Amino acid sequence: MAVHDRAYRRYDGPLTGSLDRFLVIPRYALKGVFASRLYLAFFVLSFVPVVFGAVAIYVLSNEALMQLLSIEGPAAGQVSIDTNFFYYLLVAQGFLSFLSAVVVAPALLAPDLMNNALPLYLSRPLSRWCYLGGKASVLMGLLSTLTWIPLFGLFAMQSYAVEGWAWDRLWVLAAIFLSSMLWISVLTLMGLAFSAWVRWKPLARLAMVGVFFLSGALGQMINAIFFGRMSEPWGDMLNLFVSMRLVWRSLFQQTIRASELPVPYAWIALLALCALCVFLLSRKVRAYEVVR
Amino acid sequence: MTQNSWTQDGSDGSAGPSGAPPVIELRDLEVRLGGRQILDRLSGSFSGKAIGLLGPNGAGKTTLVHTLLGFFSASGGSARILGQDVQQNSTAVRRLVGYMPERDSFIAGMTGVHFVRMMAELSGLPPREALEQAHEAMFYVGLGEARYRPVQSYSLGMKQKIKLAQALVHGPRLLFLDEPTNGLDPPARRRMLRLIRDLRAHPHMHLVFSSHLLRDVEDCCDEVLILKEGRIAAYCDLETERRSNRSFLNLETRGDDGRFLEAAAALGVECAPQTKRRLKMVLPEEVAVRDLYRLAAEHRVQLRRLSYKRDSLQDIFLKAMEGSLKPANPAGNNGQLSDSNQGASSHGGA
Repeated sequence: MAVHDRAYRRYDGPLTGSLDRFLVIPRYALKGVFASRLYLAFFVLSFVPVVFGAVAIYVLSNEALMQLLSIEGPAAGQVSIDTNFFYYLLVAQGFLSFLSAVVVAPALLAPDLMNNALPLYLSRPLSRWCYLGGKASVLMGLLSTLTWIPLFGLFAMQSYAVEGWAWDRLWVLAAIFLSSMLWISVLTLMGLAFSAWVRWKPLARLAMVGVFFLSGALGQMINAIFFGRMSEPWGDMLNLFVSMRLVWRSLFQQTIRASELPVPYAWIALLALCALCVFLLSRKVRAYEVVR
Repeated sequence: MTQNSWTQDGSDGSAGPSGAPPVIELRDLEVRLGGRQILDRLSGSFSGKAIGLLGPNGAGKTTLVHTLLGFFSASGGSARILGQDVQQNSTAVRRLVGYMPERDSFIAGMTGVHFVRMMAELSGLPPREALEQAHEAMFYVGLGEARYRPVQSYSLGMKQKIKLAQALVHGPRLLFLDEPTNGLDPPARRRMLRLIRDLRAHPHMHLVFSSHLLRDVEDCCDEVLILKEGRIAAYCDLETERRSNRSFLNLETRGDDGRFLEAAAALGVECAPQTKRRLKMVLPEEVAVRDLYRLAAEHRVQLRRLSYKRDSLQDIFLKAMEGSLKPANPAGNNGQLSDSNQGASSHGGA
């Protein structure tokens, strides 16, 4: 029917499946995210450490090039492609993904809540958990692109460059993936929770950064106050960066000192934080709030 | 034509006379929010093309709509839309309905047509068809020229229109309109009501029109449910009401009206002189008003005034609010009006 014909014509054609409907939310949200050129530039620059990593792998696996660049002797041994290489690259990418989450997350839920868009979403064949899943998938996809996906690529590159290198180190893939997913989950859930509860985007961003740094300061304060009176530095359970680094180090089979927080407690702290965020989201993300 | 089937015993609400399930079926529906009973054992079955929901603020109109949309869980009883249970088959129900919320609702940072397209895709339309339907819906509601403007820059009237566009873009069978004329100036209100009447005329479309504006509901609906404090205060079949209103007349005459009255009575018209020269008449279906003019001319009686005895929706609403329209069930089974009593409620003021 021509658009100038103003009679109502009911759509009775084929309908898409539930997965297609679910993907509508991330598709439109990603369009919105990359509409900002500033963010697009930042996103591209976030791959700089990965590019350096790729260059290092290429150079170190190419003896002719090393000779050409006069990299030999002890200098050649200063950078080696091992577990630590991937660990430190993950730390760098993790920090950049944190910045990405700070920029993107508050813009995901806050505008919908401010403009009462939830009744529009939820009056369609879409549950609120699907809605949240769709929004979360935006962050999870973006942060995955910054963390484990490029690191998997580098791992594959190194495996290709050095024959037999990968077989003894396949567990590193699991460490990269688990570490990344834990970090991504924490950032995603926290970002969405802040977006739902602090509807002014700049304030939500500030709050997200503040929680990470204030929790660290609070943890250190507790450790300092109770120094010598606590068997373990329990304050580190509040320090998100420390807890996360402990879990990562344990996954990368690095040494954990006896004076540090036991790793299971770091896991508990992070999982408790995730559970708290899910609870906060379930309270806020509703078609209509019930005023008691 | 409406087919309401109020049941005294909350019967199973199976298919109506046409074989199709009722549009809305409530069975002892209860909703508690924040520890407060908002809807209290609502029962009934509605199959009208356009169902009006009336009631004062806090009566439970919006809560009923939200419960039917699955936003709130029922604390007791059940509700069905077009045969689907709203709690158990919420996804299936949401495929069948469109919702135009009362408050400003939109997705920021999008043009009008992209917003409506996204809503269509969320309802399951493939992207290409969604875009086509979005354009059509925007033209249909009168936003054709504003399709590419950001939604947040729309005026209040335009926002009402785009809410309607997103509600009908996917071709729902039941459209919930929550205060669709709120905040509109008179011309915009008339246009909105015209659109709603046009939608009502569509063969596959049913409407639920929630409003506190009696005239809007009267203009657009053929069934009206009046809620008061979470209970059904009255039910009114406006179509029957309109038909009956056409039969009740008030006349003022000049001249010798004795023979005129005899002749009218011979046609089957019931006449009741109120005062001298003032008459009240009830016309049988086969007698039209022009027959009275003809009789008056034949018997040289002047008809100085002729008006319909109109029991307006306002009268019905006020009676419901005063509690003079009693539900059929004396046990207070919350407005489950029996068929026999339904007429009494509809014609309460006649």
